[in-house]
Amino acid sequence: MARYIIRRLLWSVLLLGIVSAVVFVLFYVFPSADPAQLRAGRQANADQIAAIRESLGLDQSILTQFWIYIKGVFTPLDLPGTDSHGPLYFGRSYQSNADVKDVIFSDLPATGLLVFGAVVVWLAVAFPVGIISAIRQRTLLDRSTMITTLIFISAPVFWLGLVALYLFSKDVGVFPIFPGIGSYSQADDFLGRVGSMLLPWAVLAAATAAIYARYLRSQMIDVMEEDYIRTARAKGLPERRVIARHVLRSAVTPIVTLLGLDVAVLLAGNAILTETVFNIPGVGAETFNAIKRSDLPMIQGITLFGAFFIVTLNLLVDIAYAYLDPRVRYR
Amino acid sequence: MRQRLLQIVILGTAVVAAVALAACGSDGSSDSSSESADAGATDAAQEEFAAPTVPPEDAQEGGELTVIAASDVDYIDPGASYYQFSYMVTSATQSTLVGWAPEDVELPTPLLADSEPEVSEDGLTVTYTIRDDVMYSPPVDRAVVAADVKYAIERSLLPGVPNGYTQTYLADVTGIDKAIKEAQDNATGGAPDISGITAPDDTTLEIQLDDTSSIGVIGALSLPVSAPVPPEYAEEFDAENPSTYGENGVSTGPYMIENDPQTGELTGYTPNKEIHLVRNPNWEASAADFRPAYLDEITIQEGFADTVSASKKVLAGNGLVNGDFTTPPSAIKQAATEGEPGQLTLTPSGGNRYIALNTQIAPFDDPDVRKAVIANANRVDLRNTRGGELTGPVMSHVLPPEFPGHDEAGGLEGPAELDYLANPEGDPDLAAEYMKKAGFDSGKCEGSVCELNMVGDDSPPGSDTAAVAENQLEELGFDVNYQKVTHDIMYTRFCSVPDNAPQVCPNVGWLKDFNDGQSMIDPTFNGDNVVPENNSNWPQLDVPEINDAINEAKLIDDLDERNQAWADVDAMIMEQAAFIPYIWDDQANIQSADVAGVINKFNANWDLAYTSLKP
Amino acid sequence: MSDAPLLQMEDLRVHFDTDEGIVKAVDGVSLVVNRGEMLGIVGESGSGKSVANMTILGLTRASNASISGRISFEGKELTTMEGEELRAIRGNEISMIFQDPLSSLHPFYKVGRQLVEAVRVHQDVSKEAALARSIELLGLVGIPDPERRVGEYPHEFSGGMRQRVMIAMALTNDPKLLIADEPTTALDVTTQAQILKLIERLRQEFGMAVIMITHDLGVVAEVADRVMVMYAGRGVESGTLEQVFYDPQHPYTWGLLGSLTRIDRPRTARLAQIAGQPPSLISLPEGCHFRNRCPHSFAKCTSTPPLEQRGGEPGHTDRCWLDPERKQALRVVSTGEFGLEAA
Repeated sequence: MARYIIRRLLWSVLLLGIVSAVVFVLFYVFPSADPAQLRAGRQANADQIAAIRESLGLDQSILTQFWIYIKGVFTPLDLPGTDSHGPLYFGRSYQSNADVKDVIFSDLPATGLLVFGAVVVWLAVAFPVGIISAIRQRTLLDRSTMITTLIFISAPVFWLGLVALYLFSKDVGVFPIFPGIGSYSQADDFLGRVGSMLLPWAVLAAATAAIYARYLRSQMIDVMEEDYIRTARAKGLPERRVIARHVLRSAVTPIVTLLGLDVAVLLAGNAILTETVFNIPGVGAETFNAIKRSDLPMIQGITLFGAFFIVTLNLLVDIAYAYLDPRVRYR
Repeated sequence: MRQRLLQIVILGTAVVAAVALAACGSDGSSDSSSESADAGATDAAQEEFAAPTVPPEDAQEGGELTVIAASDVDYIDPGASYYQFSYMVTSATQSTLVGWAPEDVELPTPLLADSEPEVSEDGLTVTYTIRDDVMYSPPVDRAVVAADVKYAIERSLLPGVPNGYTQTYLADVTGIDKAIKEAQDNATGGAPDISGITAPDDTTLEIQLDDTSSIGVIGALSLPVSAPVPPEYAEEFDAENPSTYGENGVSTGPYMIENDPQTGELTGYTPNKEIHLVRNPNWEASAADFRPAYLDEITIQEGFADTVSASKKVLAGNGLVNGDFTTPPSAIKQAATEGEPGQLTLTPSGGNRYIALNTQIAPFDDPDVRKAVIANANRVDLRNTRGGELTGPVMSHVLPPEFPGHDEAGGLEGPAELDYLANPEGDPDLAAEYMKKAGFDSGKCEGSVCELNMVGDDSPPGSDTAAVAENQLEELGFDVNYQKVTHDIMYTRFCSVPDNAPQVCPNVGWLKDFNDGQSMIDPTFNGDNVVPENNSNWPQLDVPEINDAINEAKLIDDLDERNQAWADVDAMIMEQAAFIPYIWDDQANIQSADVAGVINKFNANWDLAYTSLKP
Repeated sequence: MSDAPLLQMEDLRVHFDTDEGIVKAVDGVSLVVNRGEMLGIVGESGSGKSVANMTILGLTRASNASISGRISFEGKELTTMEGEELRAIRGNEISMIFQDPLSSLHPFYKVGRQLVEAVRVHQDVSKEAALARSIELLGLVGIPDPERRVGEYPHEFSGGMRQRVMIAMALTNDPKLLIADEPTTALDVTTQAQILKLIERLRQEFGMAVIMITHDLGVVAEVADRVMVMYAGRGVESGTLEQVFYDPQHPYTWGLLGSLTRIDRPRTARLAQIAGQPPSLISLPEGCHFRNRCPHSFAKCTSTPPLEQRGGEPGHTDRCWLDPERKQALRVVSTGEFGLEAA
């Protein structure tokens, strides 16, 4: 097992290197605004733009820039005119000159709170709904939950977010119950921040809960057809125990994989729509800004962080899966 | 071509919005065969929603204001900021040589300087006398001296402090070229010395010019670049490239960005998220500083990407005002109909928007074709894509309302003798005539020369404007290829790069730097200023008579003579028919019902040093 | 111990209402199992043998299933029994083992845990006691090193070993009746023999009745006391092993016997096949379900023959309208030139 993990980690490092190379290439191949011109302002002359281009390192070839970037990530690096930086240096934002790593770390708590809270909500909703729908297959209850989940899956997240705001937010909503946009930044303490997350959690969890409920339902229906469930009943087990211990145990295993990947992708910035609608200063909102401003170091940094999360959680999920399904352990 | 259905829908929506907006706030007369009727409707709106520029008599001290913004300032370093939203902050945190009080339109008011600057007889020396009682915020804690202003100007030449306007407006300062070169050659060697700027003593600043461009210099020094910077404190930050002074900046105004009082590092600034202003403990109110500074604390919250929700929040909330976004039409309507009086204000932004026609390539190298296109354009429709009547009057020449030279250039109606601008709703017959003059007998374009490239915004309202422009061009027989890109890409890769510029750039416009014709006309219509990158002369107009007239006007130092000269240049430019003018923007600002906001006319935005909360 | 039958099934019918139509999986099955005896149920796939037997434990109940007829176990009626009462019988008085032991054991739980569960659902004992019992059972069914193996997962056992585990699990609570649904079909021939021997040994040791379900006559020929032949949802012949093998009364049974490979036949001799295919359980023929494949069907066969004793010894019933004398004559023809050996 240890060798397996080490091998996976080495592959991950290589993968991250490839990802950052791809981001570099994409940035230069596809049209993006020229960061030097943006930074220079609107009446700057050619010399000024050239000087700024030089100070951002944009006058060098892509390969050189990439090499400098990789060095910065892995080794202490001496850049002219600046302090040398420790390892894991991801550059400075073209727009605000802030250290990319610091910015991302300061964004992570908000995104983390959003994602993990949403996970709790969507699991808490998906499990009972999925299980009950599977048990009461084809009843009115089952059919109506399936239709409801379909609606939530189809509704775009930003639309849901806006509707939620216009219905429930304290400042502009019809039923002013929950804190509205911008309330995360205005909150003073943890409890306040949690309060500001109630609507975003509901919105982000809505579609995912629906997906998980449907998935769990179909997994359970499949498992219930299995022979070992028949054996469990034949042993005389009460139905509740059959569902809880035998059916659920099998049905849950692929959901763990799904969950790991969903969490990774959300942490990597996929909550961008929810964050923008509710003005949560997280990784997604940062991505939105960075793309708008052609801020390559920030885009690069966020992409790498995202790739790192995905790779790590992928590994964790695989390990968890081996723990859950003993059949895959011996390879 | 592909967007036809979408265009009709957008047009329909824009028209409905326009009609809806017209129904409120004006007397509803939509007979716009003459511009004055339209102007009249807008005038009524302007009156009803006129911006308050004076605080109420019972303005109360204290309280906290929150500014809701979509994005961040461009730079937190006053030496680099070049953006109205940034000025909202710097006008509260800095004491520039001269500043713009809320009502100032023609001339700024002395602030750090104790009186208007003196210009010598020959016009080549500008002397400022500065006050001796202006203090820096902690941790610098000392009085400002003239050498600090010299340093502030010099550091703005560093590539690490990317100031976009100093080099243009101070181009005639003696020794500046050498200083620029020095800065660019040695970007981390500290601020270069400009020999023409001297501080003979602590309260005197002297600027030597090679030519009589004092008005341009004084105007430029009303911008944050003249905010004093303490060299002994800033040197270490300015030795880096890019400079880190911004994240450690000190203040000389009534407010400061919260910082660590020992090290000076800003704690109140998180890029793209928040700016937290507190009172500057070292600032004292005095007769020499016109700012009352009622509020105790101001928090700017950024990241409200959806401006519709943000606007609703401001209108329904407490202690909120808008920051960098202009209120979208739906919110304007809501504020106008449902809001309390005073929640919505309209102010000319000091900017214009137009559709640039590339005069250097076919078919727009032919003035008759250009005139045809302008004549055919329904400029009211184009204006309405911004959100309707309340968004500003239809543009008829370069200089905007409430701007020196605007009235001399024809006021709202514009140059009376130009037939292609006479009817803002368009004159198709006249257009056909011009096309025939250009050699197209049918009155519409024929042949391969009719294929036009247009690069415009991919999101509203820019995309709406471009779509309408596309339609109007196609009425004249042109075949338009409309490429949509983001606003930044549109500028930095296409329209501002002459080698790559298309025939039509529908989403360009210019905002003044300061209230003088030079800042509206020189970068945008002087043939000398067509540069290979970052070009702002989008029509690439290069007419020697106009270039000369501009270069001469820059050097006039008598104010009335100068304003008339700029008005004359304006007229000459309009005769070239180089663009389709469609709006002089009004900035629509909103505040919560409990805010007694004051608008700064120069900035077209809330003035944080004058705004207070209602008792 | 009384002489009354342990289990009695009377005219059981199990019909499923599906989108394609009503599937008559079981359409008239009656049987008797006495204490300690082995009843072999023989039939091809689709004959309804599994469904009929699963219905004994109530495992076929579904919203689209209609079950009629009676199944009485020690005097208690099973078709209507529910809840606690039914669960008290499952795995306790009546146990069942299934065809594929790999898919019949939960892949994610250790074997020991599944065995312990079987103990503790019916007996109020501690985990340790249940574990000890489980180890004992594994030893009983012939699994070497049971203390170690009790901590392993099903996929770590070979096919034959797994089936032994299933048998161990079924025996946990000393059931009076064991239903074995094709327990050897998924195993190779050698293992088959071992498992059958094991079941037989246990049956004798514990005095347990067994229903052995199979499609292979050869399996029951070794060990069954009584045999029932099923076709298309019905029991078509029932009697003692000797009666059914040596005096078969139903043409389908003749076909089955004729198609047996026998070691005393020349290798080149062709097996007699039954022509045609089993009917779809949705559209069954009127009357005798076998009539479309039966070489001897006649007009009367369009009405359903009841299960009765006609020819043969007492207790030997069948569903065929043919005269017993006629049957004798035709039987020789059907079973081929080698006929049958007299008892």
